[in-house]
Amino acid sequence: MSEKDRERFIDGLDLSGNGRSVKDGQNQEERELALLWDELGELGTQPVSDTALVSNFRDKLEAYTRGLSEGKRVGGNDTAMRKSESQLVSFFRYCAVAGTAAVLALTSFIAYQQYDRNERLEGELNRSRESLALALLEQGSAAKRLAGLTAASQVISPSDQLRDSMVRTFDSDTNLNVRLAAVSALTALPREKALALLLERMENESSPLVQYEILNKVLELVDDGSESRVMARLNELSLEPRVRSALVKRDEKI
Amino acid sequence: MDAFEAEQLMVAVRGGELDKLGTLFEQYHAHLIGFFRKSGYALPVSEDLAQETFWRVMKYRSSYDSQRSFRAWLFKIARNAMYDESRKSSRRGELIHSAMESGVVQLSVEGRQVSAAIEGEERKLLLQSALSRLPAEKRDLIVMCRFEELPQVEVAEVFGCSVGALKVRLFRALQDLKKEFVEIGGEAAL
Repeated sequence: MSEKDRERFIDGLDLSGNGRSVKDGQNQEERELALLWDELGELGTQPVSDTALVSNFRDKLEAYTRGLSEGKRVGGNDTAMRKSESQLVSFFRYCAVAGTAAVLALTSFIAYQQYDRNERLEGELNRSRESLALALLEQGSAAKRLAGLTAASQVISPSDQLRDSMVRTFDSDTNLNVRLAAVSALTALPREKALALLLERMENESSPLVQYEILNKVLELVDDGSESRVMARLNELSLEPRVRSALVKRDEKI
Repeated sequence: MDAFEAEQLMVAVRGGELDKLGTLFEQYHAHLIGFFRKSGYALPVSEDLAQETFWRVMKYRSSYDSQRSFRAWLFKIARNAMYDESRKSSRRGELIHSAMESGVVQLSVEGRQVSAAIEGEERKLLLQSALSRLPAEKRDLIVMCRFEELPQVEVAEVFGCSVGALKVRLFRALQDLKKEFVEIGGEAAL
């Protein structure tokens, strides 16, 4: 039996339940199946509407719909509440940032004020030291001049007047200790200035002790960039033999 | 209510008018209960399944395609609900088994003495039992084509095949039904 025959058979089946599926020209199997089809129709009954069931379903549906809208409403309130909380958190966050910024600004201002005040005090102290050093360097007592040199070495950025006074003390003081102290004090000047001044004074220095002290200070002030130049200059200078010997030894060590 | 009206209601349900589902239930619950009953389920279970089918309609309402038949979609969901029920419960199996047994025993003991009227009732019982013994796919096919009066196009949509293939499947299902019917004691007519 071909598929076309089967489709034709199915097309010939009766749906009315009047037992009209058996037709002439059908073979035995088709007749049996057609009869079975008609008998199946006798099992069927018209669907009966169950009002109680419908009512029950409607009640459940209504309860569900009500619950759904209630859920949406509560969800909406939650959303609003969450939004409000979020706004509050944002507000506090901005406040915290602004507060921190204000505290930082205030701290910076106070620190600046303090720094400025310290600067002023430092300046005043420096000026006082310089005045003291100048006054002491002019004293007749060697001890006071030594104290003046100590004060001068503590002055930050000494003025030209103080520098001249220190150089004058170094050049002309009669006390050897004062002169030695002046060598140390002169190293407080800017390095290049101090080097130039000390090298210039070294050649003409008559005291080997002072010359040796100058040599020590010069070698302390030398750095990598100026070493060869300074050493060449030192070799050119006419140094006291013991000082020269000390320089050679130091040079060998280097 | 015609098919177009049902489809319009379903579109409204899909759009959020859930109360319209009540109208659809009112219209189709009896058909669904009939379908489940003929598939071998007891009335209470069939009623539960009808409601379950409509809860699923609500759950999956957004997937409804208004270009397709609402009834075909509904019965597709109904079949799925039925299969899920048969998997999780043995209610249907017990029902079919008992119905079949009672029918066979009655026929073997009293078959030769009953009147023609009773014999007719027994043939119905045997036929119902034979139907219940068919594989679900074939049973559903016979039930939908024979009892639900669904156009073959819609039934084909439920089963996901062409109308031609549906007819061939139906023919084979009827052949199997006849075999089952004879196997449990029914006599082929003619």
